[in-house]
Amino acid sequence: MRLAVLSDHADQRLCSLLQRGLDEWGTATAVFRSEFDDAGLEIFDPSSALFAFEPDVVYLNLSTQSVRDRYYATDGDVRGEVAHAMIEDLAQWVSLLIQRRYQVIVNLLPAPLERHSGNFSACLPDSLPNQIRAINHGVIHQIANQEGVLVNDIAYLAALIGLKQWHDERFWCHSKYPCRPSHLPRYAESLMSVLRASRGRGLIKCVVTDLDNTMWQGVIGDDGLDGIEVGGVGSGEAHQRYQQYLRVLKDRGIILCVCSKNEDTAARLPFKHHSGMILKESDFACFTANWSAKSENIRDMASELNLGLDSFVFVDDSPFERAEVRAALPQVIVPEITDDPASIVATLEALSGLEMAARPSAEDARRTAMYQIERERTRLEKQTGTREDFLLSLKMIGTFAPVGDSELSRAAQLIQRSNQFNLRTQRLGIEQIRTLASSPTGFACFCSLEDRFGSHGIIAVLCGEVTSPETLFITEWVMSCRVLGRGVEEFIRNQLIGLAVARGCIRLRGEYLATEKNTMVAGLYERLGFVRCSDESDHFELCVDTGTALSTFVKSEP
Amino acid sequence: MTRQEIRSSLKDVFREVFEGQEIDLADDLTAKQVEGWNSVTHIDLICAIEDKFSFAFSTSEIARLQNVGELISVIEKKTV
Repeated sequence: MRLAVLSDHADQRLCSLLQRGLDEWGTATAVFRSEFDDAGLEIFDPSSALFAFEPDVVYLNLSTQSVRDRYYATDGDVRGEVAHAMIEDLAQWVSLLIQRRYQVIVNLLPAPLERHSGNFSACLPDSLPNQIRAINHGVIHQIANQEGVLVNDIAYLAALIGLKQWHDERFWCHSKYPCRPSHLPRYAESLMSVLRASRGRGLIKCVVTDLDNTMWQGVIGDDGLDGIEVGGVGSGEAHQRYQQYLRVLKDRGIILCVCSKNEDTAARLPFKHHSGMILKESDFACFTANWSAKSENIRDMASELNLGLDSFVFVDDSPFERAEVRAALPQVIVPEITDDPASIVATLEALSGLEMAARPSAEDARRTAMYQIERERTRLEKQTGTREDFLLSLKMIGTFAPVGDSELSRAAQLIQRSNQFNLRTQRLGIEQIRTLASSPTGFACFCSLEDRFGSHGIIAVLCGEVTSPETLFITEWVMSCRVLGRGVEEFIRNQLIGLAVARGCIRLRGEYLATEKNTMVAGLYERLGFVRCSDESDHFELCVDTGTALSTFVKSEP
Repeated sequence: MTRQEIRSSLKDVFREVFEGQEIDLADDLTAKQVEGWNSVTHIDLICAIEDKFSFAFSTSEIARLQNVGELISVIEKKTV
């Protein structure tokens, strides 16, 4: 990760905090700090230090105070045009940066302290607060709506801390600090969350929730349907709010699971019959109510859903259960919940793993349903005799095709989310995928899968380029772990051979770059008949004429 | 607080800001004589002192403090 920071104010301290944050990633990281306080000087000069640095990400770190300077330097009759001019500058900078395929991150600006006309300032388009609002509006609707642009919402951070605490004019006057210096660690952390999410690091994918005194007030087994509280006023209202919050998380692709110490029938009762319940049984990918240790249940969920335990959050009002899960599964995020249900949402909201870096796709909204279908498949598998009989009975149809506009965002998302089945962890972005998909010497393909239970949607993405003559190099291969062990890898391998031939290549070449999480694919290429290269240890090759098709139960689309 | 008490508390603050360095806080000590005391760590120092002694420097004090003796005088005046 090479991060370039272009600020309109003093940013030495911020940059050193960012460097420290990136150091923890353990990979090659560097932070570039511009000597200028005008981003335009770097961006308009093709020979600037910025471009020589070759960043992956450019952070346009603008401040409310600099806008204020510009506002005060403008004559009264045209002050209302400050925001418009700022947005024009920004839009121009950003378009030059995304042309170069950099990821761009832009601030949303905190409200200024000065209003000049009290509450009525909000009714005056030319007022400073409204000019700041107009800039933020422009960033949201004209700039950050483009692929490759993300925001660092400093406006939210400042509001969270309190504007009076946030702004400290002394440090602006003395050395152009955009806030009280003690807030800079959180300023940096806010950007780090965006960076982590944009690289698929630390994403929360599953929330496991307790029921009694978490989902509702009371103990269903003891108090019964009439005795528990959810909805209405008081704590019942707070529990309902928690459910509403979870439902929105679910709609944007986070998996919900129940993990409760209860009899199964009792645990399901409120979902079926209590009018205050927002969530239904069908909102959960796993519903576990038994008397086993919660850590064991969560471990089972992780293996059933094929998700890493470090993408799990466990919410439980009981300090005992939290401690048990923390001790047995230290990877799981277990926030400290007070016994006041009204505080649960704020606690979850503070988890930086909820950060998202791509717009939700159709797959996100359907994710829970897909896991439920998956459970049906597993049940069938247990009933059917041999594994071959089962795979055959699935009637799987695979599609392998170039990534088009309608698949772009899902393809990028899969690349971002996949940690385990990920051969090289290159994290290509939308623009890079688009370029490869239309390149005569490259390719970007997706694989989708259907079976008798329904569609899995897009479950794999492959990218590559013709490198040395007649060799098709696979630069990216990610796959959803949901479809492991079904012959999809073999299907894809057979398709790749066809692709290589079509590109006039005589061999395929792949590489395995080890990370902490992708050992599952260390032996993939050899399993698929590739031979380890002698020149580079983790490169593997397959000649297209000797590589006969592997047998698989996944059939091509007719 | 006496100047000596202030000096002793300040030593803790300096150790924190300048990463473990043991600095002899004589009245005539200036930024130039301390390794790592630059414009950035100066601000860190100012904030750390404000937190430690619960008062606020004025803008001119932030800019004008010449040496440790002056710093202690400001703290002495503001923390009575």
